[in-house]
Amino acid sequence: MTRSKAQSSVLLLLGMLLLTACAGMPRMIAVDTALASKTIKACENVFPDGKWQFAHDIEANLPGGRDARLIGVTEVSNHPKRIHAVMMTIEGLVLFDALEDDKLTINRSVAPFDSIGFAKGLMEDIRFIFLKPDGAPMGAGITENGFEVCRYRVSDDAVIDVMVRPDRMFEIRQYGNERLIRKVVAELNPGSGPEKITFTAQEPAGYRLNLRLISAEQITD
Amino acid sequence: MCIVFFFMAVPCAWGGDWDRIREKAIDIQTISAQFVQEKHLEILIKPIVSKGAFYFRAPGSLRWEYFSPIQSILLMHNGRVRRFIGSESGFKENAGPGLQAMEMVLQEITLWLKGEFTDNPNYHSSLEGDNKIVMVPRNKAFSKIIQKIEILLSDRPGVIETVTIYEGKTSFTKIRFRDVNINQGVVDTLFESISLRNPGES
Repeated sequence: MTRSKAQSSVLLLLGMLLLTACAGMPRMIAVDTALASKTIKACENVFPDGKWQFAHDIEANLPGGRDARLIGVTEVSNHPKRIHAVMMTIEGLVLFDALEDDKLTINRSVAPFDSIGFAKGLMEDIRFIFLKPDGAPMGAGITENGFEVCRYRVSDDAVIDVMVRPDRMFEIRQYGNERLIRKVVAELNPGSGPEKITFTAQEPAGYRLNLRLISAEQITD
Repeated sequence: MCIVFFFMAVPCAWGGDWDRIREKAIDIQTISAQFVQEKHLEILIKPIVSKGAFYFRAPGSLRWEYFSPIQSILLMHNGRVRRFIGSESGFKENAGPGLQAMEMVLQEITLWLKGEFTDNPNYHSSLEGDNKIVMVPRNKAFSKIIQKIEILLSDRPGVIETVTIYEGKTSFTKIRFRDVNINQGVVDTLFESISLRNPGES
């Protein structure tokens, strides 16, 4: 095999792998550099900049048909990355309080929120909703239905798409092994955060959270 | 008696000692009041403020209703506690997280409204000054949820001014009561159904 033929085979294999990896994800149409920069800026605007504190009315549809209604207080910071989350009953009884910076610290956990799995999962969901994925996107462009999209590779088998729709809504989607795992849909509101956020987790046990904003405060240290 | 106390420059509270508190509350059949609840947490820049109303009828019926920020109603009647939470599609019964703890809190409130602050063996109650009651859970497991409760009695017999529930040193819930009506009639349906309020109320 000549050197050029070997290079072509490697490229073909890479191309096939890329196609396989992107199956199930919307096709991203490449745009010129100027439009790509504008798209990346639009994608970054989806996430709160700096340090913010949100209080939400949370309606949770959990696996097994269970429903829960909670008040969630979330403090998020993107530089450095830090999450402080408190979940309480609507009457104000604190059921869960945890902080995640370089490590996870659980300050308080009351049944049914007293497992480490719940704490890790909750922090992961909050990170997904409020914090921009690490690093620069692997690509930025538009989807076939006209959404601006920035694609981030977050691990070997996971990709996050941040999409800004023409109707001023945005979507954040996470794909793992070609399948949609988690999705956020909300309205862009850079001043104070979205009034409503819908979060859907598909796997391993599906659940849905509807978040209604009670208050948003930017924190300036 | 109150006049004598007034001239002696002692507040005419219904406090002083447990017997006096019980005695002053003995005639209470119904109470209704508005309340403002502040949730304080170390993390919170501003407290979360909830507004609502409650209705009590002796011996053990209670309606605890929040108007904002989330509409919800807790009903305690005939020994049963139910929670209903408002949403875009109306009120829906919810037996979700924390209901069991709230059931204990509601049962405790009905005792207080009858002037019974020492009757629950799960708490150690002490009277500080004339009108402040401090309750500390005896059970270690429960004290992880609630560390202590402070109740400030009003000068008006039967009326509680504030209740503060401490979950930790910097995490507490303060409830202030106002527009308190005693023995002015509270209809039965308030405790049986979520849809009705007292006649004449908006």
